[in-house]
Amino acid sequence: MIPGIDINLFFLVPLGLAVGTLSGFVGVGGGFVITPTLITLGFPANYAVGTSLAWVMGNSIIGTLRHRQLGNVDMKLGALMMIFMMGGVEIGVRLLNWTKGLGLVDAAVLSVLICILFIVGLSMFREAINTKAKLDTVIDSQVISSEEISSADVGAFLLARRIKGINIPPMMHFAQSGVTISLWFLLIIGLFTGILSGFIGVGGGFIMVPSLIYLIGVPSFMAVGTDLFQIVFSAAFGSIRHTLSGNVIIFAAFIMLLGSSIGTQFGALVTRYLRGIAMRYILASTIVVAFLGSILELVGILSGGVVPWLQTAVIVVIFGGLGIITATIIGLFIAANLYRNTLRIPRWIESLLAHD
Amino acid sequence: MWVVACILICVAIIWHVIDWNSTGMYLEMSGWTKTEKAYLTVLYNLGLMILWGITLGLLTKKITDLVCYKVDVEKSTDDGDNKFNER
Repeated sequence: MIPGIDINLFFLVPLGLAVGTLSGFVGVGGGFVITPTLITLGFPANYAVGTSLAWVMGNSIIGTLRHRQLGNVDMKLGALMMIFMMGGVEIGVRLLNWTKGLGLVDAAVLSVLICILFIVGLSMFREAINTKAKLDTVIDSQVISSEEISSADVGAFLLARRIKGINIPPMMHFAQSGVTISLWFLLIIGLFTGILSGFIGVGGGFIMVPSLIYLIGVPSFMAVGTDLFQIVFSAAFGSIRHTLSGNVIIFAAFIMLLGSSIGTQFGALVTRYLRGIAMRYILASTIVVAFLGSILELVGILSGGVVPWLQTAVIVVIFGGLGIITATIIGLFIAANLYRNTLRIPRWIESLLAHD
Repeated sequence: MWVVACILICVAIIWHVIDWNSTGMYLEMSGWTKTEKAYLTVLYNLGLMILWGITLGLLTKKITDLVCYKVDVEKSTDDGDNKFNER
C-alpha cells in the first residue's frame, strides 16, 4: 500500500465501527479520532489526514441516507450553510497561512482550538444539565406529555430565540426544521463557523452542530442530519485536494467504511430512542475528550517533544474517551428498549429517553 | 430483492478493490497524481467512495429494517426538550 510500511488493516474495521456509531449519533465527521489512530498504526501524517477525509465523505453519505429517512435532514438549510461556510473557510485558511508566516502555526491553532472546545463544551454541559434537571422535575411530577414538557422551559436556547426574533429582510423559512431566520444571520453564523473551521481544521460536528442548535435553534437531531449532509460536500472537497497531493490511501478508507457503515446505521437509529438532550450530553462529552487530547498535544509542542509519554497519553485519552462514549450510547439504547418494554431502569435515565 | 441486489454490488466492489490492490494498480494510480492523469485518480477515488457509501448505506438500512427497526414515517422524533426549548 505504502512502500516500506506494514499496516494491519483488520484493525480498521472495529475502528470504523466505533467512530461510525459516534458519527451517526452526534453528527461529527470523526476525523479527530481517525487521523491520530492512523498515525499510530504507522501512516505518515499526510496520508492519515487525506485517507481520513476520504472515509469521512463515504461515512457521511451513509449517515445522511439514514437520517434523511428519519426526517432529520434539512437540505435547504444545509446547502445554504455550506455555501456560507465555504467563504468562511477560505478566510480561515488565509488566516492560518498568515499565522504560519509568523512561525506560530501549531501552537496558535491548538490554542484557539482549546479555547473553542472549552467554551463550547462547557456551555453545552451547562445547558444539558439545566435542561435535564427541568425534565426530571416534570417527569417526577408525572406530567410527561410533550406539551406539558414544553411548558417547563425557563430560558434555554435564549440566544437562538433572540436571533430568530430579529426581523431583517430577507427572512428565510425552513419548513423541515421549523425555523424562520434572517438570511443575514445565516450568513454571519456560516462565515464565523467557516473561519473557525478553516483556521483550526475541525468543523464537522464540533462547531457546526452546536451552532445549528444554539444559534439558529434547529432541533438537536435535525442538526445532526443536516450537518452530516453538508459534511459530504466539504469532505469531498478536502478529499479531492488531498488526492491531488497523493495523500489518499483509498484501500484503507474502503475497509474502514465497511465497519463504519454498521456503526453509523446504529448511531442514527439510536436517535429514534433518545431525546435531543442525550445527544447534547454525548456531543459535549466528545468535545471534552477532544479538549483534553488537544491540551496534551499543546503541552507536547510547547515542551519541544522532550516528554516521551505525552503522545501515548493523547492516544489513551482519545481512545479511552471514545470507548466510554460509544459504550454509553449502547447502554442508553439498551435502557431505552427496556423502558419501552416497561421494565425497570434507573430513574435518572428516564429524562434522556424518547417516549414511544 | 433490494437486499440481494445490494449484496451483489457489494461483492463486485470488494472483488474489484482487492484485485486492484493486489495487482498494484492503486500504487500506480497514486503515482498519476503528479501527471496529467491526476483527474482519473480523483474521479476514481470519489466515485468509489460515493458508490461504496451509497451501496453500504442502502444495504445496512435494509438489514436494520429487516431486524425489526423499520422506520415508516419520514418525521423526526426530535421532540420534547427541543420543542420545549423553543418556547
